[in-house]
Amino acid sequence: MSTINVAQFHKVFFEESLEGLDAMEAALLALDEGGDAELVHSIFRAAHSIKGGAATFGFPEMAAFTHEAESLLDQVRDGRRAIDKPIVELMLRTVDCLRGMFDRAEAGQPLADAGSESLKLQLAAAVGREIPAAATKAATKSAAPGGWIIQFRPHAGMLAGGNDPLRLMRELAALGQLVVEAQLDRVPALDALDPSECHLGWRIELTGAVSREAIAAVFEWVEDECDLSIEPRVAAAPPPAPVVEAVAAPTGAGGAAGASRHAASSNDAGSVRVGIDKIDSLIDLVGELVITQAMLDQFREAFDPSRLSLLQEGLAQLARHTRTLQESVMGIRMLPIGSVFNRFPRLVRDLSQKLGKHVKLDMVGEHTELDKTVLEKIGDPLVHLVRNAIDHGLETPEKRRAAGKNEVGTLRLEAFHRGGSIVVEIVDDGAGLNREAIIAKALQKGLIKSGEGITDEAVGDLIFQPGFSTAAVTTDLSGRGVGMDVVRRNVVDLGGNVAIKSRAGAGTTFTITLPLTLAIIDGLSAAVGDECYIVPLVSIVESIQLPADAVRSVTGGGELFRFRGEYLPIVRLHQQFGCASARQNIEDGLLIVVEADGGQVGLFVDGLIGQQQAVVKSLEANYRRVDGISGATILADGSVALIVDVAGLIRMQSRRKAA
Amino acid sequence: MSQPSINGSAETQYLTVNLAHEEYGIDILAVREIRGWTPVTRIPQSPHYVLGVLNLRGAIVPVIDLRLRFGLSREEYNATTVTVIITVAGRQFGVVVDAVSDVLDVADDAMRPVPDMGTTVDTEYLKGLTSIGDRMVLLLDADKLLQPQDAQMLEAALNAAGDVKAVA
Repeated sequence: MSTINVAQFHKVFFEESLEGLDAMEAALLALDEGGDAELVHSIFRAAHSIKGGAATFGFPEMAAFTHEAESLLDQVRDGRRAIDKPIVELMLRTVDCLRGMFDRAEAGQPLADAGSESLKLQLAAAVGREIPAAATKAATKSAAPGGWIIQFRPHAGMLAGGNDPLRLMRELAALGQLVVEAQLDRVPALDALDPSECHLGWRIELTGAVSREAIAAVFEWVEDECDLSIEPRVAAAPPPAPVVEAVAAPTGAGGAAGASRHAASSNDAGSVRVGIDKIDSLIDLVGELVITQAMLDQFREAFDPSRLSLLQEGLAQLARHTRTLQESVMGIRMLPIGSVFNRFPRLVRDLSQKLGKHVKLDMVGEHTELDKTVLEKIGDPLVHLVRNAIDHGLETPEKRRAAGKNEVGTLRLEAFHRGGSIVVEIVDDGAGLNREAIIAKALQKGLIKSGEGITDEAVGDLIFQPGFSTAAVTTDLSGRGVGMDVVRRNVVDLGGNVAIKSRAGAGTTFTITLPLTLAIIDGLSAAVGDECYIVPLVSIVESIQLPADAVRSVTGGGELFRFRGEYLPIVRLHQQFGCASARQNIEDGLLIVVEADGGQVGLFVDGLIGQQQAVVKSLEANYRRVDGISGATILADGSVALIVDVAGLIRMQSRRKAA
Repeated sequence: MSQPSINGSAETQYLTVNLAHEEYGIDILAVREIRGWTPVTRIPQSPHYVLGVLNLRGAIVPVIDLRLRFGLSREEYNATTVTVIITVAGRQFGVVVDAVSDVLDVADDAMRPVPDMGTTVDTEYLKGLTSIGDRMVLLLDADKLLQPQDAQMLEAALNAAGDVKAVA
């Protein structure tokens, strides 16, 4: 008899359970909006599967924890308990806690920590069953009379997110009396110390009639970036031993878990779930390809010119099938943007509650698909824009009422295809950009010389400058001024761009345009001397031929030409790339007007060779980055052509201009 | 890899190549393949000895000319000119030499340090030398041929030049 190693199923269990948790969260949020009984059933089912799976695969702590949640859900399902805000809140925290457990399970760490234990007690208390533990009473009460002991262990990378532990301390100090003890055990030796990382931890004793929720709210924005436990402090006697152990053990292990989790995630090759219909269509296509190949094979034996048309037809078929096959294969990497949008209902709910604003979130086009790589990298910029929109964009209900607007602000996330790109819009109906404040700030920072005659676009552009923030008070949400430039850089790195449109009093629209995939681009091949360069089609505005007298030379050796009412600089590619034997006279060659980052330049080339799809290959894998070149591709004859980095060239051009 | 030979000392195999009438050895385990010379695509802003990149079954591989690398001039690329593809530390690059000649077993204790003798090649790129009969073979240190610091130095130099231009 052979034994089955259950560990091999863990990964599938984790994936399915995390999906189940996502479903639970979505259903809970829908319930919060006033949903029906079917939602409760679906939450119950998800919890039940996780409990069953956890017991089967050897995670008894998780099973026990989920059991408590399930009991509570059971009461709701049977109608013995009405679903109300506190219960939704409790269940949402349960979902978060389970996610943490799965993280720890993947990293092979002990599952239960102080947070999960106390949450389990709260769940049990909500069900109405007594749990025989000394700390139960204190824990289940919202406000512990003796105060709280908070163990706060930021992860090394927390500071990089712009979260300042000091600010958290100040907020805590506002709640009650603090006794803070720093834990220095994780501080490395000086030569190994990375000053941009946080190595400290704190044990904080908070005295005062404070509710647990109030403390949790302080840490709300860093909870993913730290190990946190909030335990009631028993005032009379020294805290009972079990509590101390529960606090001390997981915090030590928690740091290790964080580290190993990082290691695990970087090793993880990742997997994609592919719909069976996509696979079927691939199989069909490959079948077609085989048939075409068999047909073309006939010509190998004997070919007489009378069958030329047949051969041509066969080749055309081959080209068609290859192209569809290529598209289908790329399609496997395509995932709906909904997987990124999913996180926003929760984010918007938490954020609007925290800020006391009423926000309605509309999401359109969740089924729009884009490449997995793009998808993974677009999440953070979107989160940032959504936070910004709620924090800065939408007004408080009072202000909205005063402005004659609906008290409930609307935030719309929309994704759709336009041409070969995907467009994501974040639209709010808030106050719009504060033109005066932005100009004042830009003047103060020396970004502009005077506020006179600045167009709205230019004002919008200012907020993307590094270190720019108009928020009078730096909140923990946004306003640190490290945001928008990072958002833009992330998007530009993905080959896209961000545009902003704003009308005072009517709201702000951020439009992010992204390429569908990073692996294949459409490009024009251009000849420069005897070399060939690929210019990405998305960045091309127009190709024009200029007479020699249309070029204005400016001091410093720059050249300008007039295009649609504006003077644009000319970048001679042969000079830029040092090609010999290229055409020198403007009238002999061609100007490709390209656009990126909101800037335009004219690239001077000898001529165009043709349009083609280019599979992007990295130069860096074996060599290094080259300025003005974004990568390489392989031409039909097997030789290599370089792909022009339009955004990089424009940046170089504007730097030159600035200098 | 070094293997014990009959007389007990470890041996390493080297592929020997000809360059300007001298013979050089490249550790054979670093050699991936040998191809006839084919034109490559030039890369802008690269040192003069980096001829360009070629397509090696879908991978983009830089090619350096060993003559130019060592400060010699290259007269022509002819029928015996070959590109030796080398893998060092996970990176591939091609090295253009005049011809390949032989595979040599060199006992590790037969390798001597390179005297600073004013050869055409900077001793920095050599691991040592050995003699086979009346032939002398210079053993190349493949790791140092396409050094990352070269690229960094070049970049720094370019930036400095750019700053000077900007000031001017």
